[in-house]
Amino acid sequence: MNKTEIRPLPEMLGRKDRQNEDGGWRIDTCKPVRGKPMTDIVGRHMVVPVADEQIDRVIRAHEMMHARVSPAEDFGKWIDRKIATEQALRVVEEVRVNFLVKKAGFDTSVLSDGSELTSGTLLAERGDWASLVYTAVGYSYCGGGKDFLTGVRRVNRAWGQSLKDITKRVEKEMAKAYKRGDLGSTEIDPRTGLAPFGFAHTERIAEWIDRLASIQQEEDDAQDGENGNGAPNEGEKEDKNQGNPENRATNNKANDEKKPPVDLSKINPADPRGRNGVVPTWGELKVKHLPMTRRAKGGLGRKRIASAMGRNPRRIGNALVDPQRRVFDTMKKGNGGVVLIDGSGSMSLHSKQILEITENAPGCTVAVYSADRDNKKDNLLVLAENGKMIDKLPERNGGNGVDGEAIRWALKQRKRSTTPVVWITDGQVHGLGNGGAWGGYHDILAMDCIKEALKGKVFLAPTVDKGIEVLKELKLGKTPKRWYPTPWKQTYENLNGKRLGG
Amino acid sequence: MAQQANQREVRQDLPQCWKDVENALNAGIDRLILFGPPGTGKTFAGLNYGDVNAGAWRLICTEDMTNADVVGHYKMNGNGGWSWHEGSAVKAWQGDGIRGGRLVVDEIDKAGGDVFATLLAMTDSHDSAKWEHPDNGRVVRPQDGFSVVMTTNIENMDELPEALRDRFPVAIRVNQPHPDALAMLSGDLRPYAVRMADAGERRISLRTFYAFDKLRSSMGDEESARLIFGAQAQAFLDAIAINKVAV
Repeated sequence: MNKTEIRPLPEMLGRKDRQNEDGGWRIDTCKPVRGKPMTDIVGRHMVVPVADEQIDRVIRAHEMMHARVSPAEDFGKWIDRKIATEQALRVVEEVRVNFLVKKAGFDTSVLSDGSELTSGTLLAERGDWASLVYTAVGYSYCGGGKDFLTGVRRVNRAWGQSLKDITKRVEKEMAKAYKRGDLGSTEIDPRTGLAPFGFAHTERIAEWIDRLASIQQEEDDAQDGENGNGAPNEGEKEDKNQGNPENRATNNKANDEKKPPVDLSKINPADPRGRNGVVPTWGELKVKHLPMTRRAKGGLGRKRIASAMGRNPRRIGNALVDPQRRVFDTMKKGNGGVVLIDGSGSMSLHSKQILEITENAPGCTVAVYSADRDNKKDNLLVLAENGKMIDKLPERNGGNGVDGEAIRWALKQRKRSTTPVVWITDGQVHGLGNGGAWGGYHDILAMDCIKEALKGKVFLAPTVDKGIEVLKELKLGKTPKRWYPTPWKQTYENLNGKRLGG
Repeated sequence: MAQQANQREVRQDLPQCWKDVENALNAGIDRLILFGPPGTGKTFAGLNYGDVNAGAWRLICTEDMTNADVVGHYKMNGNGGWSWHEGSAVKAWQGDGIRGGRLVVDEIDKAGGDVFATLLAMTDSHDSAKWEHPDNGRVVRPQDGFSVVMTTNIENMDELPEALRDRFPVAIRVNQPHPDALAMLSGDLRPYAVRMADAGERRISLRTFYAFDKLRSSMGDEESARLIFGAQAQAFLDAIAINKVAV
């Protein structure tokens, strides 16, 4: 007997960002199994189960919703913004789609393939907090979500509860965005030029999920840094024990006692109300190497050390006290350094001050950044590198626009991972708008800079004078005291519930 | 003069394909092919747009049709004799007797060899086209103003014979229903009718939407969809539900 096949009609769906599209979609069939159904909006291709069953119908609706609201060509651009990771964007997009499918009247609780309980247990046993967060969020609104959390709870009750709280908050955020009326919007965002507009909510929530998922890593990193006695950390001990089945029960007990990494209720998503919930974008970085006519003498971190070979015996005393008789001097190359200067209007820097700091950073790569409204001109000027520096500074643009991209560029210029980076900025980091509009300060953009600064162990300074102080301390081999701009501190506390650097 | 009188401003709210059709006909193009998915109003446009003051005649090509439909045929009259009945092409040539009319040839690609050859002769350029009346031997030529619009559902114009393409240098793909035809449909269904007109193998014609629209006023959406789309009713209604939830 022939079974009825029901093929979806994605051609009926309308999108404001993709008008005047003709022709049919290619529909291929698959089993109703996780990972098999897919939608390629650009190639107009959909793979879905086609049986006249309830689960097949909801999967078809899910894929149809992707065709209706998910990003098409622009997905790569959303990823390139680096506001959120690709993994988080994909996971939260699943949640947005399932939320809208539910709103359209479909029963998403049937979305389950029976593997969720086991995967929850396995991930919890591995203690993989990040994967647990992403997976739990991805299962929001799905029937399998409950089973997944049950699996986690069997191993670690506290984590299970935390993940449940996270998924609840994600669902609440979706509902809040839906009430605003633009969660499913496919219009082009006038501020960023990206589409669909509704995906901005996905990005905003994904950024938050990334922060939640990275908590354990941050905590572990902090522990690694503090634990200098060579003893394995708790996590390492557990990892070693995992291979042994006899130890599993003990592990579970240990995990049971393990509390959630931090108080998750204090880690918040960025507010969707401010600036229409849309995150401005960083402009494209346009680097210009200026002609360098002056030689910069010296080098940051460069120092003399004793040597057994040489011309002038400057350390003659070593002939008596040093078993190796290193009476000569040799110069040890320094680590160098990278100095990044925020050249925006709010910094009120004169060309003279910029040259002054360049002179105080011998052997460093020095650059100043500042974008214009349309980001047409070069926005990052390299003032010194490889022992040479400029003589005269050209005019700057006046805006910010590329802070996040500039610090990423600066971190890439390091010759070694230990090369210090100094960033002279007041922390008023602004994105770019579209069509000549300024993007303004946004918590998520500030968080992007904070993340880079923390990851790269960047030394921040608010003024040229303070920057010179930092450089002097580095020259002497001291570690300067960490300082963070006030707007960043506020942002960090609002979003993460704790003090920056505290 | 008459042509100028028929020239009118092309509506700016029209989809591009319909603007092209109106522009071509208003400009006096007298050999035009309209191709594309069925149910978009190509024949309607052929019969009504441009200079059709002298009348418009329609030919629907099939494999079984004969030249009788094109040029004419003898038919018994009530007096025991035979009288000649002109075919659509000859009628269109003559128009209203002063100006030639419009000949609309549907599904040109489905015409058989004989008919196709005759149609080529009847749609030839004004100077080359002539036909001898079998009754009185009079040579008939197309009147000034005679025009031809051919319609076909084939997508690739290269599939049409070279001789035909040569006679019809302007071919326009009509992929959307005309807004006037859409206006007869309920507002909520119009966007779907536009999108589904050119949806490949799953296309849904404007006529089907008319039927659904009419039925649903008395039977409701689900029953009407079941009657019209059968097993695919669920897919049709689900697509509407999903489309509605997003903006």
